[in-house]
Amino acid sequence: MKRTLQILNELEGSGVGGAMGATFYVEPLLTFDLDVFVVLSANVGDLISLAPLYEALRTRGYAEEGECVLVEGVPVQFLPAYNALLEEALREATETLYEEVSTRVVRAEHLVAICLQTGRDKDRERVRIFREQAELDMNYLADVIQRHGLEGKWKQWTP
Amino acid sequence: MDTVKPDIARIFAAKEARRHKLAALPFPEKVRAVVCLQQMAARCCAREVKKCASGHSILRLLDPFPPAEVFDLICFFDCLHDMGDPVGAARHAKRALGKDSTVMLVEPFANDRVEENLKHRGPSYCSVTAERDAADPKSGQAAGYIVTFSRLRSTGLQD
Repeated sequence: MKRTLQILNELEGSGVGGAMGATFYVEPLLTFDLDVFVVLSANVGDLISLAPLYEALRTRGYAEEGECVLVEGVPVQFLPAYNALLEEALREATETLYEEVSTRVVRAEHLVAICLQTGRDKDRERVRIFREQAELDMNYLADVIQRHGLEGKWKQWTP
Repeated sequence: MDTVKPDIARIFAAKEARRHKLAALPFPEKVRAVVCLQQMAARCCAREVKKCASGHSILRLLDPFPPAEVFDLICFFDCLHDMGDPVGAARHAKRALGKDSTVMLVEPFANDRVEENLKHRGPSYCSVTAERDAADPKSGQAAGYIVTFSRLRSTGLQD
């Protein structure tokens, strides 16, 4: 994991999200991969492609396996920041230490907002766990929710 | 909602306390816990945990059920009725039990016949907790709204 994060640190504008990102803030959650959000440059109208990223990793000896790339033994799934919420989440990701390796992790409030936006059953459960266990900055979270139009889902999920 | 027995309430309280304790662990400890969870999942689902060169665990779906080991206790917490084939899932659990072992099933109580469920709590349980689309296209089985004792007994589980 440490070596994996060192390799990922070399990717500009990336941040750990998903279940492993959530695990920074709450109880350990079962996951089989490391979700990493990345900003990929593309001109307006162009398709965003992970191919250059995969190619760069392949040249370093990290092979694809299914929808992941095996980086130092850890399956890593790269997810392009495909909307304003994810771009903001990456911009405001915080630096955290993992065994002396600095790594960028998406803020808990953004992870909650991403769950609201994604909207699956497991996201709902994750929001519940965040509310129960994480130290959320509720003012900051309210701003994020309002900015990205997620008030309805928040009200629906947190009666 | 019916009150739970004090012993069960104590188990739930202890479980919640343990989850909060896990949430407060340092991140590297949590990552180790995630790896343990992966290994447990691998054992439960008859997956093989492979060690790669860097010592990390990689999970692969390989073998069909039954698992290599048996279980003393299998718990379903308010979820069996949501499964595509609840009776099949219960049967699956029974096959994984050892001698004198137990399935602990927490479910909304339901009778066998619709008219027996038309009472104050019955409809609210059914509408709130059950998956309307819980039907397995393969087996053609589904509890739909409810999992009744008679359906469970058909799996070979005994009271």
